[in-house]
Amino acid sequence: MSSTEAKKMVVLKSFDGVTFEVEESVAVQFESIRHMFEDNLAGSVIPLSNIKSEILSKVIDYCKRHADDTTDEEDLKAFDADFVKVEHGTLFDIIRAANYLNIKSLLDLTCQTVADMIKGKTPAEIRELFNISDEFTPEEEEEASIITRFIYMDRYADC
Amino acid sequence: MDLPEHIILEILLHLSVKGIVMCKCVCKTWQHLISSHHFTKHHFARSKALHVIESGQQVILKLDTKLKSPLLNVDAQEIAFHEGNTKRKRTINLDTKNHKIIIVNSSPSNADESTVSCGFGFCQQTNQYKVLRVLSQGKNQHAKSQIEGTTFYPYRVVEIHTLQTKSWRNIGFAPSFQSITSPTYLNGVLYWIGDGCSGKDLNGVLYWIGD
Repeated sequence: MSSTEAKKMVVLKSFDGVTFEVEESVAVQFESIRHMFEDNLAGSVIPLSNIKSEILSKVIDYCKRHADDTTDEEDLKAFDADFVKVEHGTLFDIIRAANYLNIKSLLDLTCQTVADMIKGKTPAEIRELFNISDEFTPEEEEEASIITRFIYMDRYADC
Repeated sequence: MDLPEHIILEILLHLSVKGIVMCKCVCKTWQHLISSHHFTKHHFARSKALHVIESGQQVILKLDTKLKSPLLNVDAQEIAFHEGNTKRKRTINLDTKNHKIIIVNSSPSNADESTVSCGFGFCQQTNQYKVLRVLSQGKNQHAKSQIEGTTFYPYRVVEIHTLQTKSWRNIGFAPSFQSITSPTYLNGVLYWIGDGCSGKDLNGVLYWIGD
C-alpha cells in the first residue's frame, strides 16, 4: 500500500469546474470549509463557487508549503516573498480567496503586501490601485493635497 | 477590483499612521472606515510602541494650520512629541474622534512661565487623548538651595489638557529634575527621561498613568 492511499484526501472544485485533490492535512487550513470534510463526507466534492482554478491552485500551493513541517523558516519566508510577486488583480483575488476560506496567515501576508504597496503612494495613486473613482469636493481635494504635501515633505522638498 | 469593506479594513489595519492619514484622503468610504472608533481601537491594539519624534526634529510642529484633518488621532501609541525647552510659541493641531480641530496652545499664558516639556497620551479608561506639560513657574525658576550646594527646581508644575475641554488643569508638582526629555507614550503610561536630580548625577524615568 503506498503512502498516498493512506492519506485522507479532500476534493475541491473551483468556480470554473476544475477539481483539485488535496490532502486533508493541507485542507485543514481552510478554516471556513473545514467542517465539510471533517464531517466525513468522504469522496464528495466541495464546491468553491467563487474561486477561479488559477487562484485556487495558488492557494493550495501556499497551504501545501505551509503544512510541510520539513521546510525551514528561511525557505518559507523566501517562498512567501515570491508568492506575492503577482499582478495586482491576482493578488486581490488571492486576498478574496484567503478571506473566503479563512486562511489567517495567507490573509495576513497578502494584506501586508497591499499595505506595503500603499506606502509611499499619493491618494490619487492609491485610487488608481484600487480602482476607486474620486468622490471628493474640490475643498476636500485641496485638504488632501495639503496632507500629501505634508507627509511627503521630503519627497517635495526639492521641488 | 472591488474588495469588500471588511477586507479593505484588514488592509488598512496593516498600515502605519502615515499611511492611514494618506488613505483618509482616498475616498469617503475609506475616510469613514478609518474614522470609526472600531478602527482606532483595532489599529491601536496592533501597533508597536514607537518614539517617533525627538528633540530637534520638528516635523509635527511644522503642521500647516490650514489642515482640517486630524494627523494625530489615529494611534496615540505611535505618537509622542517633544516640545523641547523653549519659550517659542507653538501651536499644535490635534484632533478628537469628533474630527474637529482642537488647537492646543502649548505656550503658557503667564510670561513668568515656560514649558519644560510636553507629552501626548491616550487615556484608555475614558478613550480620550490628553496632553501633559511640565511648566516652570515664577522668576526663581532655577532657585539654588544653599543646603549642601544642591540645585532644586521647586516651581515646576504639571498641567493636563484633555482634548475636548480646551483648558489646562493643574495636577500638581513635577519632580525636581534638571531636564526631562523624550516624552514617550506606551500602554497607558507617559514616560520621560529625567536628568540631574537635585544636583546629583541621578537619572530616572518619570511617568504618568491614565488620569
